[in-house]
Amino acid sequence: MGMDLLSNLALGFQTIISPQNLLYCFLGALIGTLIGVLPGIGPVQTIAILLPTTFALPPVSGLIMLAGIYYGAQYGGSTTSILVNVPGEASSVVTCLDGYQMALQGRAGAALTVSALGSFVAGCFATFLIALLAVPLSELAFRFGPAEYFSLMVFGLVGSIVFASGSPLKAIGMILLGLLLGMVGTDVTSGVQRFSFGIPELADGLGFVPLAMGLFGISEIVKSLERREKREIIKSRLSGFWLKKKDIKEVTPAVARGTFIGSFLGILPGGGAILSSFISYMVEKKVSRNPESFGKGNICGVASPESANNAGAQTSFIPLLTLGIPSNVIMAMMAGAMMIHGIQPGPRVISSNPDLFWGVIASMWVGNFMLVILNLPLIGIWVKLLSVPYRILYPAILLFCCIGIYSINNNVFDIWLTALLGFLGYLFVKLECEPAPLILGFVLGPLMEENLRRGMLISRGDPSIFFTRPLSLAFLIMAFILLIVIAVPAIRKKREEAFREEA
Amino acid sequence: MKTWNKRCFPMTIVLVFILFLMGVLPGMAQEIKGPIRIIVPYAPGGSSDIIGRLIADKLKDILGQPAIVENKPGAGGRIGAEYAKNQPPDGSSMLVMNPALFVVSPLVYSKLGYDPDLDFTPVSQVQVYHFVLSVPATSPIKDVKGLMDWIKKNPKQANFGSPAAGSLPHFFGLMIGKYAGVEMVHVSYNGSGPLITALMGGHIPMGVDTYDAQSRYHPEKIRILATAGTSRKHPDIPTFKEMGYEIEGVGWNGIVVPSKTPKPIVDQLSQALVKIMKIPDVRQKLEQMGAEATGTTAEEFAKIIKQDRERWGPIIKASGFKAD
Repeated sequence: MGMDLLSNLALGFQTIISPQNLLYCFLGALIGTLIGVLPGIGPVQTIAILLPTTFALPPVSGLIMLAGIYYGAQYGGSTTSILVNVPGEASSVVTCLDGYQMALQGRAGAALTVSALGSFVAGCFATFLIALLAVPLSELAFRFGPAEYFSLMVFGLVGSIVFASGSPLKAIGMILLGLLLGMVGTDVTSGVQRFSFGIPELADGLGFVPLAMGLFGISEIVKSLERREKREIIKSRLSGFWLKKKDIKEVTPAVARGTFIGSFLGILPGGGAILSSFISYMVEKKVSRNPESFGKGNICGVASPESANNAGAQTSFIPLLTLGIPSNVIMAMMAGAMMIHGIQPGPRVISSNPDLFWGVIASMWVGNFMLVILNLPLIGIWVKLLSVPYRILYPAILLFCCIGIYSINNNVFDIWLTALLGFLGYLFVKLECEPAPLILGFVLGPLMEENLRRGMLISRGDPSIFFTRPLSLAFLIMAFILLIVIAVPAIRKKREEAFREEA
Repeated sequence: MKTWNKRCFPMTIVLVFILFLMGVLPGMAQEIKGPIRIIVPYAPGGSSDIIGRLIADKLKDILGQPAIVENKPGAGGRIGAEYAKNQPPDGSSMLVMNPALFVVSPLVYSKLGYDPDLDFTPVSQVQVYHFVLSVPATSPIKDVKGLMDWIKKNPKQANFGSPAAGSLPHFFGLMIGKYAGVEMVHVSYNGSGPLITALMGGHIPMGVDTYDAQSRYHPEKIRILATAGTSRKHPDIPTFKEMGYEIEGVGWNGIVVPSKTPKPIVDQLSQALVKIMKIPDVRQKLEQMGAEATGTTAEEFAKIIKQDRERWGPIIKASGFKAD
């Protein structure tokens, strides 16, 4: 096994080290970083546009470039989240929570550095994991039937209350609203349209990008019209590019936890990278000694989800490379890129195209290295962006948002939708309701419902399917424990207040 | 002489130009002016997108006009179809479509944004793909007969998966249940990927999908019991027909244009597509993906659409499936 791995990796590095492949790897990483930074324009649209150009390349070079765009976007996506509270990518929504607060405190440089380094560590580890354990790990996805998915989602939903840094009641309200919004569109089980009001654009549900962009980005821009003076605070305290010793000590375990969670969740089909950043944030807040500092600029709240989403992006290649099963839209396009070259993505790729399999894996490590080299010097430039006057910066961001949102489906409807959701987001700000639990409810809700109904169909209406399967039961027990852990302090607090009032 | 020149020269030019236009315009109306847009109503990377790109690539050589793919995804292809019907009917825009859009949707939607017959004219069916019935590789079921026996013996576990509710594989599965005399429960997934994962994990006992989506996992991870076309797709996998089951039906992709497109242009496009689908390189690429190039004339294609409506219509109606 050890020798095999070495010779396989050698083959991989031999493939990537050719000047042509290095060039495409670099191009991919560079394009990925850039589109990651541009809000709204995500890897999905970019890969869609560049897909035809890869048909003219050798398959390995094409895949290396596309892969580079994908994980490069995870690197770049955090930039606008931190600087202006606009998530550049779906998976960097969580980074807004503490990253932007850090920027307001003048620690934008530190936040960007920790997200780049965390991503690098996570990327390297995940690559290593793929090289070592891709095949056995791919079997993990099979263990997840409807019951397991449902219970995992229950766990995630219970945990999402943790996202509230304010009132837990409001957080629960937002989660429920998120679940409701997630129901819009075609029901997977019956094929029936729900809440689409006869509008074909709503048949696929509300888009994640318009929702995240509206609730975070647009509402932040609207809000900023109210306050003029805050700007000065950011400018005056632009110190601390580099991490302090204390930060490093604090961040290291957070990066490790994020990497682990991301690597695991990335393998599961469905929104792996998004889910991993949310769940790692949840875990981080739970294990932290001062959870109340989350949402107010805790560096671990940036480090962990950033590591998680990059690790998740990397390991989401496992099902595609080992089994040929795309775990998300991007992987589906990669499968298309392989097919056009006559390579059947499937269990036979490892043996029939070892250079492709190991070449792509080796390119991930090389690409991650390039990304960190590319990104660290860029941090200074990004931070300088903050000194661009808002009257120029914000219209520019709005413009990019519009282009990006339009390019998802080539449809103007999505821009209107984003504007509407932006208004809703502003209302939430005014009502002090946090959008993060809503977004998590929106992501998890449909997955939970789909799998609940699938499970019940398969068991012919017998709910014991969720308790008799060990993995599923484990998640349910974890959810229950988490519920108690969250509820007990809240109840105690209430009782103390009641006592005080009596006294 | 000089004044004549001054006055009349521009006039002559205008006159010549008008005469030129008069001579050329009627001819031009029958010519396809590029760039040609092939509207794919799905996201890039899928089978409709790949066939669209293969056609675009060859069409530009045959017609001498640039041809590009325009992805217009959403609502299972219905947004793209609605968009395509309003494009200029001059041969510069065509739509890649399939039975879901032209056979199933008109039956299950009370409000559909397009009328397959009034808004479009068929040009050519370009490829067919065969449906398959498969079980996990670890399943004790070895052939179709064994499966039918198993269904009869275990009606309570007789669930089948399909890549989507209201897809042809969904209705195909119902046909199989009808054959076994058992009402099977349909479990729908979000596309072929999740369906195959569920099959490999043994979460459902059987699945119906297309040959191109499943062939690459046979026989290591899943076992394809039979294909549904008229001839074998794989030397070792029998067809339903040869095993004595009258279960037939294929899926396909085809090209249509807005209905006001003049007949000569439709014919020209149709001939071009017939030619393209005969190019060895195109056939081979589709073959590698498990699909089959056809390339029919416009008339043949119109007949296929009609036949498919007659074939699937009763089954879809009997299932009671309604989407809105």
